[in-house]
Amino acid sequence: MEGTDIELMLGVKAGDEACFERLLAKHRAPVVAFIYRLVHDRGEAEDLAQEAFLRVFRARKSYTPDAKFTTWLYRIATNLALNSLRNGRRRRNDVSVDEAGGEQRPPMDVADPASAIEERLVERERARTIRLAVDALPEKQRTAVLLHKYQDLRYEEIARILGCSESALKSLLFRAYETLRERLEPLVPGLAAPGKGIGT
Amino acid sequence: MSRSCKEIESALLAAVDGRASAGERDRVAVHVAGCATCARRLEDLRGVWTSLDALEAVEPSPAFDARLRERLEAGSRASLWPAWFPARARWAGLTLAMAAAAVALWFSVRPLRHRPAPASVENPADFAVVKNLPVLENYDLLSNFDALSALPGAQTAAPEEQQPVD
Ligand SMILES: [Zn+2]
Repeated sequence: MEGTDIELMLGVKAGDEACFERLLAKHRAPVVAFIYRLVHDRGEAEDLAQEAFLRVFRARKSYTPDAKFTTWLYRIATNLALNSLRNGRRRRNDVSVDEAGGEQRPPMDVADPASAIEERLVERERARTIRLAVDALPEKQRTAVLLHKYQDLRYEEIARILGCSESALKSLLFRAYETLRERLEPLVPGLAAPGKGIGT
Repeated sequence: MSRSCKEIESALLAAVDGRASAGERDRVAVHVAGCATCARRLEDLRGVWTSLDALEAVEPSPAFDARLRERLEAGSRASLWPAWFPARARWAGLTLAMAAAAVALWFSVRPLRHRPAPASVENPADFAVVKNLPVLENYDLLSNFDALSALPGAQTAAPEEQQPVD
């Protein structure tokens, strides 16, 4: 399937709208999910994902298949999301990430037994802790982890998206997971105590 | 931690994320069999990797495509150049567009002064000059150029505004 995106993009370039629809159908969900994990706001994530696709479409005439389509797409998406975060940081300064985050919270069913509600509360707390730990990573590490963990991309691609070498990416990722291990330790029972873990 | 421990790190990562080659998997297996520290690191990494499954995501809303289409259509009307187009080039384009619009205005108004008939376009020489200005070939481009129409008095220069004067 390696050539498919490129073929579709060449179709878009040639004026075939159906090709754009197919690219959209394929990448819309992962791009929205990726941006959401960076900005934690659903409306903003959709807005930025649309902007990314708009930019792809507007640049179609000058498209040359010299890199993977996803590298290009995620590079645009990453830049948009990080810029939005930088610009929004002042705006959201005093609002806690929790409130501003708009985390997806399914309504609790009152008919649920108490144990189920408690279980869900624990789950939410767990998800929140993980989100805060990821958010606390330096920008580049955070982006690298999100691209590496959740997007179906090869090291080489992630490195190109972030503008670093593959070996630099791997050590960046290793450091990031090491930091996450320290922060998530209370949450993950099997994790080693600090000082005995990944990086030591 | 030995040098070989440092060197095995990227293979540990690949062993956990599923991107490892067969060779990397073998190297990891051999190394952790003889190194308790890295066996532990591998387990820790696996624990972190799995715990990250709990990070939430969202699905695009059903209106995503319709909204994108709206923006695409609005964009093609309102914005002449994509956002990444260099600002300097945009100004060059603006200057060219204004000059072209002025020429268009002049050609459309001039014949009316001399010949009252609404024959401005029927003079083949005049029409050819206007038509051959590349920037004017795309009338949509000029008529929807909001930066141009925002200029005081520039409205009259937009080709779509040029109605024959009675
Ligand atoms: Zn070792």
